[in-house]
Amino acid sequence: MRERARFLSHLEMVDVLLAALRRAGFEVALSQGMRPKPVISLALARGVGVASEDEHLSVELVGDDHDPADVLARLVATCPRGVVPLTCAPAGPKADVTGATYRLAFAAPAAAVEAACASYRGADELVVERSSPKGRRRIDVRRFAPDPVCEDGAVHVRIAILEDGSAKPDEVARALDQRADGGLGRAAITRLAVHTAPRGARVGAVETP
Amino acid sequence: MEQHDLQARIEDLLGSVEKPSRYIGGEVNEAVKPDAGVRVALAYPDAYEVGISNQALQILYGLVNDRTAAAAERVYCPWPDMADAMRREGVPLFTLETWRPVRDCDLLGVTLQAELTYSNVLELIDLAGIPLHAAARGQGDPIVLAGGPSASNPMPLARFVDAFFMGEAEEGMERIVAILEATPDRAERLRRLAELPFLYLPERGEEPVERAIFADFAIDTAPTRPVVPYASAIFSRASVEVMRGCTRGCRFCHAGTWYRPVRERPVEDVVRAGLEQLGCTGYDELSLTSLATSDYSGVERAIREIKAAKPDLHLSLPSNRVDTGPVALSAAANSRQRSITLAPEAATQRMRDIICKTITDEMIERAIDAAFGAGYTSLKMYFMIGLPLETFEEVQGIVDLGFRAREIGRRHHGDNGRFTVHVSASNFVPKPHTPFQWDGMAPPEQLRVKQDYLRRALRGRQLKLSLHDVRTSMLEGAIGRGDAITGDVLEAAWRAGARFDAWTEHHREDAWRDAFRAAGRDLEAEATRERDPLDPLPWDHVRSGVSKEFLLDEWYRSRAERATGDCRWDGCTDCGACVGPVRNRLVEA
Repeated sequence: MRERARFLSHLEMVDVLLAALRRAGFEVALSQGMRPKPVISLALARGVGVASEDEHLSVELVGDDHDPADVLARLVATCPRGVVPLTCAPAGPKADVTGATYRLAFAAPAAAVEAACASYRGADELVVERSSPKGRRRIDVRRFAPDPVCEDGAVHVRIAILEDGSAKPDEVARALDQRADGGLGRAAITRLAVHTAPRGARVGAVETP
Repeated sequence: MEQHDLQARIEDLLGSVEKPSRYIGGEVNEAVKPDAGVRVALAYPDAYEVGISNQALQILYGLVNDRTAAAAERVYCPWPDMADAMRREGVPLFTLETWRPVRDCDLLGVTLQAELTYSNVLELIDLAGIPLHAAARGQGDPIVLAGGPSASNPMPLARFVDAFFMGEAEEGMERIVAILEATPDRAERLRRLAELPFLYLPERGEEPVERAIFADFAIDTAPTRPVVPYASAIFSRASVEVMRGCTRGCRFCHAGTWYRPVRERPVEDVVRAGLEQLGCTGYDELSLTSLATSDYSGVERAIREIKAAKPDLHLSLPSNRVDTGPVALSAAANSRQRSITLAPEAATQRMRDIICKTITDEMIERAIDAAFGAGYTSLKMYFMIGLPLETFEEVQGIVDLGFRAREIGRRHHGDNGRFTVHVSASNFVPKPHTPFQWDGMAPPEQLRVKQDYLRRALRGRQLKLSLHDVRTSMLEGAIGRGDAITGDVLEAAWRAGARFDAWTEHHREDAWRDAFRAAGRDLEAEATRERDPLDPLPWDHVRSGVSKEFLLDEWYRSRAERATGDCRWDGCTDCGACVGPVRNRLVEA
C-alpha cells in the first residue's frame, strides 16, 4: 500500500482487491449461510493514511488448479495505482497475528528523535487517549510497544497484539512526540512487517526490557 | 505554490478528514495524461460517492481522454470538513488525477444534475480560487462551463458561469476542446465558443440557444472503460445506456422533454459494451440504464445474450414500466434479486390521466401480483404528492394501493410472510420545459398535512413509508424555475454557509430564507407561484426542440384529464423534437 493508496480504509481495500481479482478473471468463493459473503480477509486492519510494505491477503478462489505465480502476475496487472502485490503462495495452516513492525518518520532532527526514543524506553508508563465513536479510553502504549529504536533517522517499533488489545502506530508516535522537548510533529507511518504465529500463540503480555 | 508542495499539503490534510479516499484518485481506469497541452477539469458538484456514480460525467471523461489530445481530470465537491481545511491551509481545489490546481486548467466543466447542488457550484468555483462572477474573470482564469439537464434553465447560475452547454454533449465537447486547443487567448476562446449554437454565453445576452441532440447515439460505440470507484460510491456497477430519450410524455418529467426523441442502441453494441465493462472493472453487476428500460425494444434479446455469456451475473433493469411484462423481465434478468421497484407515480386513474401516466389500476395490480408471484419479497412503489389538481382522493388512493399491495403480498407469502411493501411519496416540483412548468408547488403546510395523513394511515406490519423533506423540495422548486435575481439569492445563501443542500445534515434553511428575504422575495411564494402561460419564462431563449405550443397543449389536456399517446406506437404528437435525421430510432420493430 504505497503513495495515495494508503488513504484507503480497510473495507475499501478489501473491495478494491475483490474487484482486482474479478478483473483478473478469478472467482472468489462465497461463504455458506443465509447471506453468503466472499471468503477474503486482510490479516491486520491498517489505519487510514498508514502506508504498508507487508499486507497479508487471504482469499479462497473457486477451482483448485491455481498457479501462485500466475495469480500474482494477473493480480499485479489488475490492481490500482499504489496497491502492489508482492508474493503469492497457497494458504498454510491458520495463524494468529501477534504484532506488526512500523517505521515512524518524523520531520524533526534525528537527534531529537533519538532522544525521544530513549526517554520513551525509560518511562514506566506512556498513556495516550484513544477516541472512537464508542467513547474515550486511556491506553498505555508501552505495554504493547516497549522498545522503539532509531534507524536511519526514523523510529522502528514493533507493536504487539495481546489478548486484551493493542496500540495503534499513531498512538506510539504521539507518545514519542510527548517525550520530546518541543515535540516531533506528525509521523509518516509505514507498516514494515506483519508478524504471525501458529493459532493460540497470542499472549497476555510482552516482556518489557 | 509549487506542485510538490501542494501535494505534500494535500497529504497533510487527508490525515484529518472524513473519508480521505474521496480525494486520492488512482482508481482503476482513470486516465492520466501528464503532457497534455489542454486540461479540462470535469466537476460534479456533490460528494465523490455521488459524483463518481454519474454516467454523464463518465461518458465525457472517456470521450475527452480517448478522442482528443486534451486531458480530462475529475473534481468532486470537497465535503465541508475538507473544504474548511483547504481554506484554512490555503490549499486550492485540485483534480484527482494529478492533484493540480483546478485554476490552472483551461476549462472547468460542471454538470448540473439537480438544483440542490447549485450552492456547491459556487463552492467549487470559490475553492478553486477562480473569481466567483464571470464578469470578474480574466486571461489566467479557466472558462467555467456548465451543462447537464438543469442547465436548461441557466438563469440562476448565469452570473457565475461563462457558458452553458445545452443538451447532449458527446459531439459538442470535441468541438469545445478543439477551440481550446486552437488558441490560448481567453477572450478569443469565448468569442469562438459563442458561435456554437448549443452554447449560451450570458455575457452575450439572452440570444436563442438550441439544445444539442446526439443524433449518432444509436451508432456510436457505448463507453466501455468507466472509472471504478472505491467502495463508498452509491452505485458500484457496470452500466450501459441502452436508449436515450423517452416519449411516454409524463407531464412532470423534465427528462421526457429534454432527451427527445428516442434513440436505441443496437443489442450487439449493448451486449459487447456490457461484457467489456464487466471485464475491465471487476463489477459483478450490470445495469441496463435508460429512462424506461422495459421500453427498449431489444431488451429481451439483450438480457438473453448477456445471461448466455454470464449466467450468474446480477443484471438490473432500473426504470421499468408498471406491468407484468417488465416485472417478468426483471425477474428473468436477476433471479437472486429480492427487491423490485414500480413507479405508478399516482394512485388514481384520474391523476394518472392528468400527469399522462398511461397505466391502469388493473396493470398496477397485475404487476404487483407478478412481482410477488416471481418471489420478490420487497416491493417499492414510488408516488408523488402535491401534483396539480390533486384532491384528497389521490392521497387516499396511495394509502389504498399500499394496503392492496400488502393484501396481494400476503396472498403469495402468507399473512405473516416476510415481505415488505415500501411506499415512497415524493413532493411534486415543477420543472422548466415540461407541461407543468406553469404550475406551482403545493403549499408546504398542505404537503405536511398530506404527509402526516400518510404516516398515520399507512401503518402496519409489512408496510413501510418514506417521505421527502418538504424544506428541500420547496427550495428545489424555488430555484429551479428561478431567474437572474435567483442568482443573488444563491450567492447570499452560499455566503451565509449554504452548501450540500440536498444533505439533511447540511441543509441551512435559515440561510436560504434570509437570502430570499434580502432579495425581496419569499421562498415559499417562489416555489408555489403559478406562471401565466402568456407571460415570458426565464428560460424561453433555451430551445429544447419541443415547442412551447406542444407543452401548452399538454397542459390544457392535463386540465381536461386526458392522457396523450406515445409517438412510438400511437402516431406523431407533433412535439417538434424530430428534425431531419433526428427522430425516433428503434432497434426492433
